[in-house]
Amino acid sequence: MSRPYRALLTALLLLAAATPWIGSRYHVSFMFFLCMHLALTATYDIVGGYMGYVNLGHGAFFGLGAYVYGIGVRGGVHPLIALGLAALVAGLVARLIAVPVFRLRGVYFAIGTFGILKLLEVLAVNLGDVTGGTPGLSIPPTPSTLPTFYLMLGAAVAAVALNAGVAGSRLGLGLVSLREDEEVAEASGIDTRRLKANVFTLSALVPGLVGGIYMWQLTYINPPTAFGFEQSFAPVIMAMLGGTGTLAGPLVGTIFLTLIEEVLWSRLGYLQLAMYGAVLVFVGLVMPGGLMRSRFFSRAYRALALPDHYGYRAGAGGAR
Amino acid sequence: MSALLQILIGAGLQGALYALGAIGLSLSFGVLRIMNLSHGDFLMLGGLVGYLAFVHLGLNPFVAAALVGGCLFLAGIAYHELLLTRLAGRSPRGVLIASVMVTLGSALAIEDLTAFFWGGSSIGIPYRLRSLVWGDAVFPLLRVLLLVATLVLTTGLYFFLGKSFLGRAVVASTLNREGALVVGINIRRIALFTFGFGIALTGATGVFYATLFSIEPYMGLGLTLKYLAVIVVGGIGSLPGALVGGLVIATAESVTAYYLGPHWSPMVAFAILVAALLVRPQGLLGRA
Amino acid sequence: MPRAFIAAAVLALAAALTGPPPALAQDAIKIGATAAITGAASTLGAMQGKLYEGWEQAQNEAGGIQVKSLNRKLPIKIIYYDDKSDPKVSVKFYEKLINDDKVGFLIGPMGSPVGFAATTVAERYKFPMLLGPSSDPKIFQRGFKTIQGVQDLATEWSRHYFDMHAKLGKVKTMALLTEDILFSRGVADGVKRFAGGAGIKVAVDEVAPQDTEDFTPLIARMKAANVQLAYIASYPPFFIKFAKQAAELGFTPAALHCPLCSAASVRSSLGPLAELVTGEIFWVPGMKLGDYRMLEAALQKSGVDAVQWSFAVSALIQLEVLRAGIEKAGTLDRDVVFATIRGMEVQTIGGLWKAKADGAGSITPFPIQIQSGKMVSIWPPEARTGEYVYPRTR
Repeated sequence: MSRPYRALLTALLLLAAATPWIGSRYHVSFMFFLCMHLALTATYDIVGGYMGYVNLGHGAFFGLGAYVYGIGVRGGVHPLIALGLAALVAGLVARLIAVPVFRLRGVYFAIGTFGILKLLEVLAVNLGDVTGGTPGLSIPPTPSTLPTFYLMLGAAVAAVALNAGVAGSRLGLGLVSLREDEEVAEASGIDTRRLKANVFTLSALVPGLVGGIYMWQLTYINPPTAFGFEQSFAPVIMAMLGGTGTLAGPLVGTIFLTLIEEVLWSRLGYLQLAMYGAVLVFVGLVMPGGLMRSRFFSRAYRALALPDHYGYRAGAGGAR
Repeated sequence: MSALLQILIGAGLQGALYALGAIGLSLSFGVLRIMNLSHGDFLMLGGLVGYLAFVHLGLNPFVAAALVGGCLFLAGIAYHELLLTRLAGRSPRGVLIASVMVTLGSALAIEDLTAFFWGGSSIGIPYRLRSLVWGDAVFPLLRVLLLVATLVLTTGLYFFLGKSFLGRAVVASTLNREGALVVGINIRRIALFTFGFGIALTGATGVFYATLFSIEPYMGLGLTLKYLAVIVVGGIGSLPGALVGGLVIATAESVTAYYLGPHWSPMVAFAILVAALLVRPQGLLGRA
Repeated sequence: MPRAFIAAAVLALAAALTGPPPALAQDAIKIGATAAITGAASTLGAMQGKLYEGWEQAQNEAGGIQVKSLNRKLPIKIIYYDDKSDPKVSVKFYEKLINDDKVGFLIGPMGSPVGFAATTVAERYKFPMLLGPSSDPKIFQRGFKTIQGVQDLATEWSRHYFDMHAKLGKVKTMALLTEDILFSRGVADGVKRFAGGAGIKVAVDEVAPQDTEDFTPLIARMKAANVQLAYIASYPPFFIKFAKQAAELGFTPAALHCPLCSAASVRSSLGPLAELVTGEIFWVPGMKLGDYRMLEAALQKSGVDAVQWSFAVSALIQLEVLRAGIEKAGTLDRDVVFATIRGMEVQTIGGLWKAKADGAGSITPFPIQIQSGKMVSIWPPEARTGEYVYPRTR
């Protein structure tokens, strides 16, 4: 990572961390959700972008984390321990379903993970004694939103760092070669089964944590909020918008889309979903490789001479 | 015993309805390899137009369905031409990602715009036919007619695809794109026609949805997922498979609802979907 | 500097600097709320925004609200946002209303899931908030000090209806089908209690998911149990599907009830099948309770149909109560107004309102029956505009 890039990122991070002092409570709330989306998108992209498996059910880990945290706190567990549990359970579930779910490829994988989302929602509804069922689960609110703000900021940083870490490592190289041609990767000696399972589990930890932090702050969760379509698709869309399989893609995609939503919600009372949809259609048609692979940004990438394993190369990752 | 019989009859009729709605998705996915997440929204639109035809033109649902079919055929072609044709030349993963974005975006836009112009309320067509009673079993006539229509349609399509030139061209273009091109088949026109037909069928199903149930602006995505389950279980790209898939899912849902309670039935449909994907992804009748 | 990251930096800065529209003039009483204009609850609340605007206009044409401490009448300004029936969106907007729009008073959103989340904002900022169409008991069981409901708990919904049947004495067994959503479950709990009190046996008691399409198994059960009353605790779409299939399968109980059958979609989708169905509604044209004149003016200005949008109309009762509180307290000090509200009684369009110990209000809807396509209120005798027809002959 070049020095100016690192300096810029640090400056942005400091600015974000200072929000509670330099901005209004509304800004704090905005940054909270921005960090949440960022954390989910960056972790989604590890499996969706580098590995090339479109995991439409990524939001399920978020929902699981929220419920585990809520159940834990209601059971008298300390909040920080409950957060740890939230991440752990999400990881465990990911590990359990990894074996069966990775027998699917391509579209079938997408449909299967989509189905798991709905399955979890129905479970959340029916296991009412544990999850509160349709009415949902609520916990006592905390007086200050500062701890959760910083926790969420930390989660976002962790997610981006994880994403970058994977990208720059041998692990990332393995993922990309798996994405490009799984049989060849297997033949080259990569244990694809273990790789897929491990990475899948890894990508689930932060969303679980994020779900717990969300529950801490908002104190209420119900099945549609935890496992609903729209929020579960959001990280997928943001990653695709920014450019899957790139480092800055999830970042740019998240910020861009969150900003658009913000502007639209505040100014226009109606049609936010419709405009969201229009943006999606536009990007899908014109720049399916995402913003990061469009001509404007590609020149910047070349100028930076970033290594290829970030997934940038004309058409890599889906724009072919 | 008679309750169980009634439930099985109900499931059979419901399965036919599922199949009718799912055929379009099976075609677009099997033939075009495009996962159309906006499928359920075209059903909703079809129901809406059918309702308007009923209220303003006084057409009964069957006639309205034909009219809606025609309109949505054109709409489907337009949709494909504007949005989906561009995706044709991309890599499989590229197509997947792009089609998810485009169709999901369309779904959201369609739902929200419809809600905006129509208002949030649900609509339904108050049209009823009598019910045939045979001993203890009740057969609502409207649903029986739909079952018959679905069977006729499925059989017709099956033979069309197998025997007619156009039909075989459709099949050829899915099995071997380059080969079909070489032989002179106009792939693009085939794709358009097939997609349009699928959307037309979906829209027509929507009219019956409005008559039997009701139509809400935001119902699309959930329905799409249900139909995905139907075609995966039955076999993507297989028309009899859509029928089988519909029957399997409808029966599982009804039986579960009766014995375990209705809140377990959504679980059943998706458990079957996930199980099918794991055990036999090509479905009961699909090609590998 | 690399262009991409300048772009990202600009975006991030823009994000940081995003602010709300400028605050409005000080010379009005600002009341904030979110409404379910889109999303799952929009079948009940899509017209909420228009109703708020209509009421605002009507109130301001009447000069506004009298504030004794300022010795004049001030106009009101209702600032509302679409919460998309999503709890976290509502939370965002309530924070915005408090911090950026700087409203003087808060009224509640539509629906209990959203209400659950939104009230945590009020409690956190210690900003008193009235609640309207969010009446699940659990909302009031958290010990929050800053919320006050206008409606009674969802469990009390059908109290009048079962009073009526207790007096009528013709129903001995009933079936209860509950759509699996928060509102219906609350109502259903109350129904079971009232049924017991009225000597009615609940022979069938089922919960079904929102997107149920095939009601055959359930209807089969109900037919077998030979019930006189089928109570469907649900939103309109669910009830419409049920009613159509019940007719198909020849299930025609003497009484068919759905709390929200007042929605126009029920009558337009069911046609003649909707005849003699009963439900509940907060206000029918012709009722002369509370400030019904202002309501009629608001309805006329906004063009909203009070019968179809009964829930949204009930949200206006919050404004009636708030106004009464401001006038009686004589000041715009939130906490004083709230304390005053808690201690007083107000005649509203929905009947007499007063605060209950648990934080809920006292407004319950009145039973109605669809007769010749029109809503007729049937109970209690002092509020009714027509007679209850039983049994529901086809």
